[in-house]
Amino acid sequence: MEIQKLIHKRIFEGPFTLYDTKGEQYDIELFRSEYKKLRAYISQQVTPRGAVGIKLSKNPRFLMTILACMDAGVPYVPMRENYPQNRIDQIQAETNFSLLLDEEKFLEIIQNNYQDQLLIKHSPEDTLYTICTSGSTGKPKAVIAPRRAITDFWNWCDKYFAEINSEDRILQVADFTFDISLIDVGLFLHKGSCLHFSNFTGNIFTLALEIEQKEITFLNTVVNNFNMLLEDSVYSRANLSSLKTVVMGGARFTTGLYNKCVEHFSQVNVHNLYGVTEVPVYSHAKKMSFKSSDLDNHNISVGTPLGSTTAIIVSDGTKLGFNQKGELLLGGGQLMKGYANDPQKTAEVLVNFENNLYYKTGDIAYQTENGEFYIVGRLDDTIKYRGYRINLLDIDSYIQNLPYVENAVSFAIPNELTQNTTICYIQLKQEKEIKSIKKDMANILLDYQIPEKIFLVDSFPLNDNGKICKKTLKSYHLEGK
Amino acid sequence: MTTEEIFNQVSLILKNTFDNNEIDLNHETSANDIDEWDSLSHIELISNIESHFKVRFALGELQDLKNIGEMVELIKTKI
Repeated sequence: MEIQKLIHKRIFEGPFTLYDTKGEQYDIELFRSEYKKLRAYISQQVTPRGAVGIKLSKNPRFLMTILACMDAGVPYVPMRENYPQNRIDQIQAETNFSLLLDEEKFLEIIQNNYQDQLLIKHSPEDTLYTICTSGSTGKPKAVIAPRRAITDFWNWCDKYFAEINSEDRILQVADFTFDISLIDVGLFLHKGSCLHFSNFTGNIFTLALEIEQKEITFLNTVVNNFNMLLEDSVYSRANLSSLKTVVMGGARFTTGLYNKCVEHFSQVNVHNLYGVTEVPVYSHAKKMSFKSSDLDNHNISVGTPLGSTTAIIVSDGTKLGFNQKGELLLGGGQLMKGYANDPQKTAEVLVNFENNLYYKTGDIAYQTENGEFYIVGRLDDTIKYRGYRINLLDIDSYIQNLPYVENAVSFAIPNELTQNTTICYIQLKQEKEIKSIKKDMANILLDYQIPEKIFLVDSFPLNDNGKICKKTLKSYHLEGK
Repeated sequence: MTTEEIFNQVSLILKNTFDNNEIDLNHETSANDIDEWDSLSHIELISNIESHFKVRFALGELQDLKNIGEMVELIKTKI
């Protein structure tokens, strides 16, 4: 179903239930009335060639504004309420939004009356949103998503999550600057499930309590949050029995987490999703069976391409066959339009292969004969060490397989002698000496794959989305912290 | 145990947990003031405090804590 039709069906034909972060229910009629004013204002003030920058706190009004933009056919640019001015200026420069919709503006709009505009029909190629991610140079990468991408993705969600219905309670954990939040929105629109906005900002006990008190049945968040939720000291004091379906993504599903899921989530539908912002929202999905079919060697499957997505694996311009490792390329209906204001970068990552357009993910993957994909590393993580080509993420996954290892993150520091010094930071589940860890590594890795220097840490630095921030870890290491 | 005694012991646990003796602490100190105090280390800190004082916190109690002073007051109610 096309987005505009889907929004109208849910918002005007209903029913729907929304709770804000304070646990207060948003009145449906109030929502509808504010929604119409917003939509009318946005239609009058911004043309489809412009954009609306949205800078609101994570609450139903942010959702309302997003939906109003989608309905009016005006692209939106989501921003966090606490973004500093220089970040907003950078985003504005990249995306050229002409209206900044913050709390003050929102209140001004809903206090006035605007004539509802005749809504135009939108094209699948029209821009739906532009999401800015932090680029490696410090300049944000502004990913432009067309309407077709989210139409396709939401239609896939509707079919794939067949068990979800209007009785379900979804916790909206991700904020709207992170595209995985659109899973929750898609299910809210398609299924009419109740949406609770979460207060979670990093204190995992808050998340656990919200699940318990609101009897959440569907939880979609990053792998790291599940890792923390299933830590003994969190899990043992929380009642998570209401959860029926969990969706994990945004980072590698580790064997440590897999084992925790086997122990605690055997009665829960656990889905491992893989994706990149440039092919919103996710491109692959795997429902865990907790049988050997989930794994190939030590790698955990990310499943098969979803919806209209196509995936191929290439190396040196040649498409590879089964079980051969190469770069993962993604194509199909969910592909982004490009990066705003950066045709050069767009041309670098969107490539033509056998007359189809693909996005170069930079991820190294392989596909087995049964069609399932496995992500084993990043092209950036492939380094030369003592003349050998090694992939650091691949090594991490071997180390994470050691029963006492919670997490492992490796990186390389260039040097003239051996090209690179390999460093590995390890978080342990139980005490173990580095000497003994190295001995165990020798049983699972080749000698040149064993990191030269090993450090033990209690925890890893995380980015705003709860993922381990390798860049920060590396800078801490270089600063000797 | 007095408030100050609990505070001193909590400070020590916190410094050990974050492996940093240089941290300057007072009753108003919160996670925002300490680089090492992230989501994962928070779990470890709570476990260490519980095992040291032989207490157990409920989820609701852990949700509301804003700073070390509040943590100290909570411990005081349990020992």
